[in-house]
Amino acid sequence: MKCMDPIDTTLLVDYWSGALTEQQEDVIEVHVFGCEECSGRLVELGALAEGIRKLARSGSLRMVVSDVFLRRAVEAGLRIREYSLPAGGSVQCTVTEDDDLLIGRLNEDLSAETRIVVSLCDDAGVERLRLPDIPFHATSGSVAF
Amino acid sequence: MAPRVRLYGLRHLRDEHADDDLAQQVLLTTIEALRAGRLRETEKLASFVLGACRMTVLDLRRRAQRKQQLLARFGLDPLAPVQASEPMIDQDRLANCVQNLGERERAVIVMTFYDEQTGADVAGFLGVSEVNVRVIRHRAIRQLRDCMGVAV
Ligand SMILES: [Zn+2]
Repeated sequence: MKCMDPIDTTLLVDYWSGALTEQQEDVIEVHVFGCEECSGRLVELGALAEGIRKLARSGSLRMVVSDVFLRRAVEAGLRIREYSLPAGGSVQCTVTEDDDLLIGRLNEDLSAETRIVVSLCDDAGVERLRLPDIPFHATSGSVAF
Repeated sequence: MAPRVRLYGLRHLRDEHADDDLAQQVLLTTIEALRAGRLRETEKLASFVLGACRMTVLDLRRRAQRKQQLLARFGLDPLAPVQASEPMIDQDRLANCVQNLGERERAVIVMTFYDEQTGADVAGFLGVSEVNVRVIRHRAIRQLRDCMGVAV
């Protein structure tokens, strides 16, 4: 049966990520339990969210991470190897198969910067991975990736 | 109705095994009510099942808490969880899709679903407004949906 008043996807995301008040959750749940279409959409969203949690947990994403992410990774027992990059300097990274996450941290005064590009190169200086336009907070002073 | 019960369990218990337990208990409660003639009108079924879900989740939470207390008191480790049931989506494809998102989109998605941070936290981390975070998140979900070919 076609839903006459489908729940907005943004609202479903808020619901799934636990960002709603209890009353708001109740409204969503009453609708979803009575609606084939919206419950189907929520199943898909839940699968997507679970998939993303699994990817993040296994450390298989190359991305900029928050300190909350790192704290959780430590709690989850992931082995983390972290390198700090000094301003204008370089650092040799070693990764063994025992490492779950490789973290590079830029410690630098970023307040004057507007854009950060991360480029990972191999021994020969050939670029292997480029993360253009890294999100960062000018005042935080460090970017972890 | 069973997929909706499992969904409720996954959302509130965040555990693939606990939502099996929930589905079974709720099913039994519902059958019991039907047999006992306490549930005559079929249009009341959805709200009855939702109510049963709410009660059962509270109950499962209480029992999990009690289990934790007992384990702590006797200094025991919890039993290792059984292997998860088959994945619901193609993880390799998802990894590709997530990797193909823009840097900001990926950060927002992971912070929302993995870190479970609020819009304000994400906004603070990225140095953008909360409204902007919602816009980025919406765009990211749409891109993931198209990339995965699912109907969210
Ligand atoms: Zn609906």
